[in-house]
Amino acid sequence: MTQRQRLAKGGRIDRTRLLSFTFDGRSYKGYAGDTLASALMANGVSVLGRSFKYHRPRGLFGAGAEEPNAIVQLEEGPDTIPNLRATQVELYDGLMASSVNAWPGLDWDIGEINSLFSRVLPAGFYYKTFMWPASFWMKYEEVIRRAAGLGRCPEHPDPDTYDKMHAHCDVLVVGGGPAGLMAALTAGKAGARVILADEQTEFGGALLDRRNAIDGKPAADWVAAAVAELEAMEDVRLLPRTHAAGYYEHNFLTLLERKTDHLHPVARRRTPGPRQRLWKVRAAQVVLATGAIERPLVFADNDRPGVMLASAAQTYVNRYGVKPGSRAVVFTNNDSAYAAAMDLHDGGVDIAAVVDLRENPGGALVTEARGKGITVLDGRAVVATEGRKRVQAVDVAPLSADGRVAEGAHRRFECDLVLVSGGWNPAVHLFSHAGGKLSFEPDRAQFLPGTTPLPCRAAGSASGDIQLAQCLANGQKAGEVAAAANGFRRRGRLPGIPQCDDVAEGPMRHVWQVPGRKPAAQLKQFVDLQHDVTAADVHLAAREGYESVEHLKRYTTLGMGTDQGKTANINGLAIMAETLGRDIPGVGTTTFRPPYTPVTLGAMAGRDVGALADPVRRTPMHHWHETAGALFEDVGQWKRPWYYPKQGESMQDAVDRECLATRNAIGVLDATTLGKIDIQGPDAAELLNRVYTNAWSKLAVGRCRYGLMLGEDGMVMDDGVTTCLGENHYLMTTTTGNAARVMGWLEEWLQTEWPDLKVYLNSVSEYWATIAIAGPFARELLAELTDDIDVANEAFPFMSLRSGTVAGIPARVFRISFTGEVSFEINVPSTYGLAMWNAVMMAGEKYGITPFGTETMHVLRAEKGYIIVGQDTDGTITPGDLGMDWIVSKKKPDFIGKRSLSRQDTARSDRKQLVGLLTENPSEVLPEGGQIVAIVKDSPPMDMIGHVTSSYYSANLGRSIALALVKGGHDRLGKSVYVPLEGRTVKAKVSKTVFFDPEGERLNG
Amino acid sequence: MVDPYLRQSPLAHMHLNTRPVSTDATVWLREEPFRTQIVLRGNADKKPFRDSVESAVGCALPREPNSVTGPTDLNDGTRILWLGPDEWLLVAPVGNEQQLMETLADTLTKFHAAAVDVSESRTVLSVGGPSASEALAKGCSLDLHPRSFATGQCAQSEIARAHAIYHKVGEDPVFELYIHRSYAEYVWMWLEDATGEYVPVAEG
Repeated sequence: MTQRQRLAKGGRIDRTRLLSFTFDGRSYKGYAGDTLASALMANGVSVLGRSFKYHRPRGLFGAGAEEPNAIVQLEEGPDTIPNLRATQVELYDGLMASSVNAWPGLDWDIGEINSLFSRVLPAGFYYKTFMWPASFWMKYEEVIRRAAGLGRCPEHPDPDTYDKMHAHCDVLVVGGGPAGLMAALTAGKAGARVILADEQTEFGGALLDRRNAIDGKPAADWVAAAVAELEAMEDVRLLPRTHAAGYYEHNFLTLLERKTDHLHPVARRRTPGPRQRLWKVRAAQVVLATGAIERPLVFADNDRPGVMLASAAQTYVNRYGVKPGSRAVVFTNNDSAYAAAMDLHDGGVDIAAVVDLRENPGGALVTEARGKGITVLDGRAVVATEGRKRVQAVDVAPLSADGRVAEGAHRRFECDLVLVSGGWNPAVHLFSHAGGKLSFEPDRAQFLPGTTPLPCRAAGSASGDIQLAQCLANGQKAGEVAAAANGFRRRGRLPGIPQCDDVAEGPMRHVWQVPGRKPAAQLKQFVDLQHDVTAADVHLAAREGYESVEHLKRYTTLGMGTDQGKTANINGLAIMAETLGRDIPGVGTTTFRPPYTPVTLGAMAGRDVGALADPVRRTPMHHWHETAGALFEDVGQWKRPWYYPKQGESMQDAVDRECLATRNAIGVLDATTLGKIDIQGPDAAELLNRVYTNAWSKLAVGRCRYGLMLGEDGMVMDDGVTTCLGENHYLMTTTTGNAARVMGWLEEWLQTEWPDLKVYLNSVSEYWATIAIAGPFARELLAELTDDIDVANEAFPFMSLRSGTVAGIPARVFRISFTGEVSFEINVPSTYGLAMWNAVMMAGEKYGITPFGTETMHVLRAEKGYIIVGQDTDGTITPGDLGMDWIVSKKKPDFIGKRSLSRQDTARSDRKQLVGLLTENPSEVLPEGGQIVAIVKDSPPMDMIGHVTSSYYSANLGRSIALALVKGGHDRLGKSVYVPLEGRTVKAKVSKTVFFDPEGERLNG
Repeated sequence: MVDPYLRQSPLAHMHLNTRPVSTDATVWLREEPFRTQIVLRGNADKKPFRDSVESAVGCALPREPNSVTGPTDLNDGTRILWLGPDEWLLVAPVGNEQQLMETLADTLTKFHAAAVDVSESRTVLSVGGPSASEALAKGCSLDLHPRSFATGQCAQSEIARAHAIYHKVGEDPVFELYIHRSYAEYVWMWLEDATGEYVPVAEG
């Protein structure tokens, strides 16, 4: 196909670089510098999508972020992205795009049948029709989603990378049009650190779209000079292709930079760096120079392809050298559309007429247009449009003085283009995100930036400036004030504002709902094109009482969708105000929320994906475990060896082998991950007395003691062994998962409640590598590795510490045990961890030393009835519930949680208590979490009296064992309980929690 | 005498020094393992405490938040980093921890104070080159611009999702990141990923 709508010359495109692309499978050509939208227009493609509800054919309506219709799916397979605005997709060679809301195709769309039934698809239709029965909603939703279309989610992992970048600056300028460039230049020259972000490929904003002259030369020259000057400044960062997505408290903004979106996927992958970058900016000052978006007029059948914003048509002809049509009718209520009409006229588009809602418009642009021979029909309105896939004609009729009736002789104009302009809406979205209050200017019906709690100011048309000179002057002022607020004052006088070719504009006339030939209820006067919301829908919402703006939005879906109503909101609001007989500010304005335009999930995830999704903490012996074939268990962020399967072993085989080896010979465990806190100071013992339930004052140097830590509620929070290292010096260990929490907990008490206690806490968790050896040969092995520690039972008793040299490495050895065997925990500086492990493995070989993981550790400790906080407790369990009253001091005046233990509820005798369970069938292993009942019924519900917390097969005992929390469990010893499972019920007997070596002979041997 | 050959840095298994180094890269990474690090705690309002520390280690206790005493150049002399109103990190060349701990133990008995050897707890990852601060900004929310983070300053924050102490040293500044050893591999992998775009890939 040829680019039949392309002008012979002009535009900011590179005609030497011809690009090929496809849309819905057809091939087209465009030029470098085109957007997908301008290239499709150049090829004469009119229908780019189908509307959301009625599936009416839709064409280009805008030229930028405001586009409601031309929503496309870009690329296929893993590269596909849904719901992009064709107006913002830069063309590249080989681009593939398709329409998103048409099935089976744009030309023949099955959903168009909805149009015929539109009388039964009014606003609120979904809510009313699919309400009953409620249980069917999920099904309805599925059907609605499919029918509603919009884009397809990619089904493959995204092959591109995305990242995030933090940035800080004195002045962030959003928007690189005349005001933004001027603000950045002024602040930059004053010495401030400046970031200038603009969503477009090139800086210049609206100057790229129009034919302004600055200082008598094309505005583009001024833009190029300004950009060159900014590029030369060391502390100025220019971010083209970057839109500000959100503006948050404390002047924090997110910007999305599309770094390589404009490249073909293959070229993109060859380019270093991310595809998109999410900037997280802290700006001392913000200047919003975000421009304004043209407002359409609401009239009958105003959605036909060929109806578009006057400014968009102007952009296509000036910036892209494309004729949006051959013969145009311009429909306006203000002067700016005349400039568009003249630019199109000069570009060879036949202007059939300018239909102006105003009587006798008198602005300079009107006069100039008339001078070019353009017909101006004043005091008139477009009352109807014809054509299906492209507008073919409009009917124009005189408008009554009150704007409510357009009667009298209709005049028909044949045309393939209707340019509409209802005035301009300043882009106040970001200002509003951050809590800025908007003020209403009635003459031009604009919400303008009002007051804001943040150091932020708007400039240019975002703040209501109309004239170019005004934009430049206010941009300069904003840049100066923002820089000065950070202490950057200009040296010398501000340069003068360049000469601009502004002309005065006449007043507007607001006719929010242009009358048609029938009552509104029988017309399609679209307010929101993307969601097919008509003026009649707004009336219906008002009649049904949905008067609040927020209700209006949710009831009609006005302002929802990917465009968030950028061209719809003010018109909807004004029609609601008119219906209710109020003024516009009396109805209010919807709350603008981030993002301004959509942000990809990829950018939000950044590099927090795959191996970098979350930190992995590794012990010094981690790679030994990997080599040994260990499988790992996540404990917090740590990777702990779970078990070490040998060739052909199942998990149960491996765990059985590890359990038996440890009880019968020797096992070795990497216990590095336990939390370790160094506690020093004259009040260290007092601190321990207050945070643990037992007494600490008499712990001798070199001795260890087990402690239970409670929350203020009396519930078990953590446990561990603490050792007295010297006078006023202790080492506390915590569970792996609670290390940081316990440290924070102790610091909080010290800093907020007990600042009088002289204690310093320091984490030494990372300092030590800990290797636990356990089993009948543990003592012999240790003896072999050390010659300065006496390992004899009497010389080195249970629960004590010895320092010395092990395998030539300085070590602290603790005789403590979590297995019930004689066990030593060898602690060495972490850089020696692997060396020590290797030494232990080598020397232990002759004893059959067997590395074991957390699963075997769990089984061995369960055989001994040792609890695991967080597995056998869940934050609702007291020491008494665990049968551990022996560890709760009756003599200490106080400790954290003491008061709560005497509460009526915590003293109840029928609380859930920890007991052992032995299944009737010894090979049956109960599932952890299994619910326990005393009386079995045929089917649920049954009265549940507890649940299984730990359950394993014990190879040492040759049977299964379990721990469980059971109501009044301590009184049920020897009684039977039942665990109903799917299809069967398991009978078990309540037992004591210690299953193995109840006298502790092995431990002390 | 302990055989130093037995020691392994947290990243030893990655064999970093066997990798080729791109001379075109605008950012470089290096592990500086085994640095002597001692946490000091005490009451800085007490002059005798401050004087004792200074005479013991030859370096004054910094009192300005995020400041560092000692040399600001790249050589690894003895420095003290401010971590909090009553918390400092004394750093010194490899192998000095035992002697410093003994000296401090003698000195600090007079005060309510603590000195804890944490040399094994963290490794130092150095990030240098013209693009260093930009690469770090991907995972560091602090402002690393020279106007707000001068050479010779330190700060505690995060790098990606791990805790880090940042210290900026040298004329062509290098950021020294003190990273908990269990996180070292994660942070190294993160840094390699973040700096990838500043290391030109040979055409081939």
